Amino acid sequence: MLPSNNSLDYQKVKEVFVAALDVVPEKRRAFLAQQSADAELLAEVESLLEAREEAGEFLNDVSAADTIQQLADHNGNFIGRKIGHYRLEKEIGRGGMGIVFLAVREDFRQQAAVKLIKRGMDSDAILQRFNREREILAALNHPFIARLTDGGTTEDDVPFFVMEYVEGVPVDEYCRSGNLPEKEMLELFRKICEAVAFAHQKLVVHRDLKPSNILVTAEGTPKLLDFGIAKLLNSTDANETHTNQRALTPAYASPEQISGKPIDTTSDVYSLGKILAELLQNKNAPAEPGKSPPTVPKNNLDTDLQNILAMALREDNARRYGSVEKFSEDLRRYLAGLPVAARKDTFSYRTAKFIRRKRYALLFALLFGLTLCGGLLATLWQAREARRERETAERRFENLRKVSGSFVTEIHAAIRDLPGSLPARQMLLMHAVEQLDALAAESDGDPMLQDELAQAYFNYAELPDVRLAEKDIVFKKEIAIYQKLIAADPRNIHYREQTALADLELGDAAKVRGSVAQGIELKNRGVVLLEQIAGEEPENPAHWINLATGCADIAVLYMLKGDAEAARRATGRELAAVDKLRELNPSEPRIIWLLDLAHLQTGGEETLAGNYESGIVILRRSLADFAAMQIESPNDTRINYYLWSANRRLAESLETTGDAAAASEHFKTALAIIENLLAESPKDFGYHRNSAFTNILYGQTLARRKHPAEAVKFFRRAVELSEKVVKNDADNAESKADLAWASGSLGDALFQVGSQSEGLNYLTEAVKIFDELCPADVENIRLQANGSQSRDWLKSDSLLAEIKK
Amino acid sequence: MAGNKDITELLQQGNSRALEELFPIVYTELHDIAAALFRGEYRANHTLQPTALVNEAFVRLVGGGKDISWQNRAHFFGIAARSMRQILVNHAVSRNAKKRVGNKTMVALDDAVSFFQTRDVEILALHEALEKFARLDERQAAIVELKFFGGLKNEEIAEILNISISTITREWEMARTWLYRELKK
Repeated sequence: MLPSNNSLDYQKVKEVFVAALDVVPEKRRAFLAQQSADAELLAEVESLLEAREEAGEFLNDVSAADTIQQLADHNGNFIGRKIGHYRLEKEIGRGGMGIVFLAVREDFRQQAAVKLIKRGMDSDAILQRFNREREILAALNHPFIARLTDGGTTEDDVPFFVMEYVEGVPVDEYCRSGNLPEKEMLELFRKICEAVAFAHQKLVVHRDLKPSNILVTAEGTPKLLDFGIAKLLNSTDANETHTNQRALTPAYASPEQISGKPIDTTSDVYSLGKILAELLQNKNAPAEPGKSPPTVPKNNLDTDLQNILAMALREDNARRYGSVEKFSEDLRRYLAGLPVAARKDTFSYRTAKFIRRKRYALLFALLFGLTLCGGLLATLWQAREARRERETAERRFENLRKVSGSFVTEIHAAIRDLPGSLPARQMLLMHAVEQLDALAAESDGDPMLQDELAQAYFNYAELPDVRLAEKDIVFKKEIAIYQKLIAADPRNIHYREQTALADLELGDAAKVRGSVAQGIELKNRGVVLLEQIAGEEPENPAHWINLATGCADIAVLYMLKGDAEAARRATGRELAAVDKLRELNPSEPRIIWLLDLAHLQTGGEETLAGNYESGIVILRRSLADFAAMQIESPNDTRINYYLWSANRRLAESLETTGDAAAASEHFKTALAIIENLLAESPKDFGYHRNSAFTNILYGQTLARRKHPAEAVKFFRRAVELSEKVVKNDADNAESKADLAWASGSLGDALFQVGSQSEGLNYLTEAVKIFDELCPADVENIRLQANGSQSRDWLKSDSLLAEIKK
Repeated sequence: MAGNKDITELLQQGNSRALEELFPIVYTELHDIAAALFRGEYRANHTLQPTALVNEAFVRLVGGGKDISWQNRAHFFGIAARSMRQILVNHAVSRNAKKRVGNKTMVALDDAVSFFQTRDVEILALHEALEKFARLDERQAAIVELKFFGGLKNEEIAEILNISISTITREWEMARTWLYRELKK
């Protein structure tokens, strides 16, 4: 807040300000210092000088007269004019896109509402779009939607709609003035939902649902008006998938509409939620003036109803009701006293509902059940004890010596970064693990052996082609061993560090299985532990290396979540750890790649945060470093992997800034590197995944530059690769998502080159997979975005196909 | 309504009471002109630039005005600019009232669209800021009123306020800066 102007002499401020205007900006500070010693005064002048820079042409380029001109332009020309068969009588409404007039059809003396599209919105593209919309809107024949009867353009090319004239009052007013009971109000609201759902079936999203657009007639029939900014769910024009700069009503607009993101039918779910919340709020407690519509009214509302509203009003559209029908159905269930879907379906909840309905029958069942359970439990307990004794007796301790844990671990470490070493590693470790399972239980008494076993588990589970379910089991086995060891020796740093590293690996597995949120949680757990350990033993460089790697890892997950800020913080922690490492041992070879890893990450973060230019600078630098390292050690798979990553990320950033040529170059290099790694280790599913990913990105670049035929090739490759991964491991949600993404992209590209039915098949398949994956991994913004894209494509391509037919 | 002669007389009296009497006359006249403009009536016979609204009112009410002293012209245009401001404020208030449903005010973006499509100047906010500003510097506030609401040119304002054009330029610059900052808060 600025200093209060009252205590200042404005005339003095004016004097200094006006004088300062004549001084060049660089010298103003010095000039001001000479003018006065009054700090408050100088602060005020500086604040004004600053405001002047910002003010631009404020008030200069517009005057009150322009307002009059605009008002005159808007309706002055129209009253009394004949448009089509209609004569305009008076203005009855005004919206972002135009003005609505009451009009009379002269031959039949029939009333209608005529909507004229505002000037300035009549460019060729808009007119074309307008005509198409008009045709589709004409198909919206529903008793609860104001019918569109005619439309066209006036002689001076102003587009217009003719709609059924509805004599009614806005729904909120109707509910309030009629003091409608909750039940009737909800039934009325469900009719509104029915109309919106009907429009959705016709691939039309209203996008501007608000009480003033929903009139209720004297007979209590709702009528939806104003599909003025309605959008066809299809849209072949890329611009149309967004809300555009169209006017909308912020109080009822969904978050994605306000932020200009792609929208779909769930945006209408949100707006309907807002409206219902307002109706209920009005009913329970009249809102204070000036307050925007409530989010979820808390007072006096049944919890179920609160939950229904909360679900309709979720910020993230993927977590809302998937359709208006589902929203409406939940209201029906609420009205019928049935459990609603909006509530987490916990046991206690279901029970509460159940009890409310069937109080007495239940009481008997419960008593009977308790008696039964008692007997069953006793039987089970006895059986289990007997089996355990028998199995223990059959075990052979010799198994322990069949494999030397440390031997396996050492060989494995020596060969792991060699190209094509995967089969050897697999054989070595798989054999080891077979034995390890047998050993684990028996070696309780020998901590060293236990430790070796655990590490062998770790190495095995880390292999890129181990199935996720198995990975999970093996890592957990490892952690269980260490937990036992820790219980006996709670301060042992090594044991704790191993647990932390396993947590990092489990975090990765969780991400691949389709939960970024869980991945972050696990990795955070690991990193916190690693931080503790590094603090306890700060002179050990290995701890700092682990910590730095862990932080780098978690930063990647935050990127997937779209949280550039958190990613940046994690990278900051990584760099701090690297600094410690450098203090301890400046010649530690891993410093360089850890730093480059951080740069690579920072470049990605900058890009994510929208700072493309600085992101590109940083990525170029880290790419140069990795390229230099690659020349030193051309066969090091890890360096090659980072080189791929640098090229891929740089290409993505370049693509975002529109530098297609440079982006293509780096995509091609990235593809060459990853395909080469894949050729060397054809069973490495990690490379499959990364190659698929790169192929999709490059394909999309081509498709965006209108080379769909070329793009098809890369999309097909991505489909092929992702399919292989999924076939190997059905739990791999990450590759399933890639498969969907690739199929969707392929489908749309095929559609564009004329293979319509094949294209639609791929798109349908893609949407099916996305529908399965998206709800489970809501934090994964890439997944969510790709999902909506494919859905949009499917809708638009189906509609186009329909039209062509 | 007062005839031309009365108006000239009132202007010549120039006292506050006379000006008070003048205000509704000028207001009504301007409102009529604006309303006719809204209805498109001006389209038919002659074109009227909205910037010339105030001048049109002057001609209508005072006639050629050759025998009117600059002080009296200043009084007139001061009142006219004030009237324009009031007309727009009233219009905005009534539009907002239409938007009100029950006890709540719904803020619709299209309000901003129909007012000042080019720049988001909200008439009511500007009006209130200007009230506040007038307490700091009456002359600067008067310049804003004449220029922005009255649509008068710097030369005309210079004549009305009897100050130099360069002073007006500087004062205007400061006033719009102050108002910009105030509205941005």
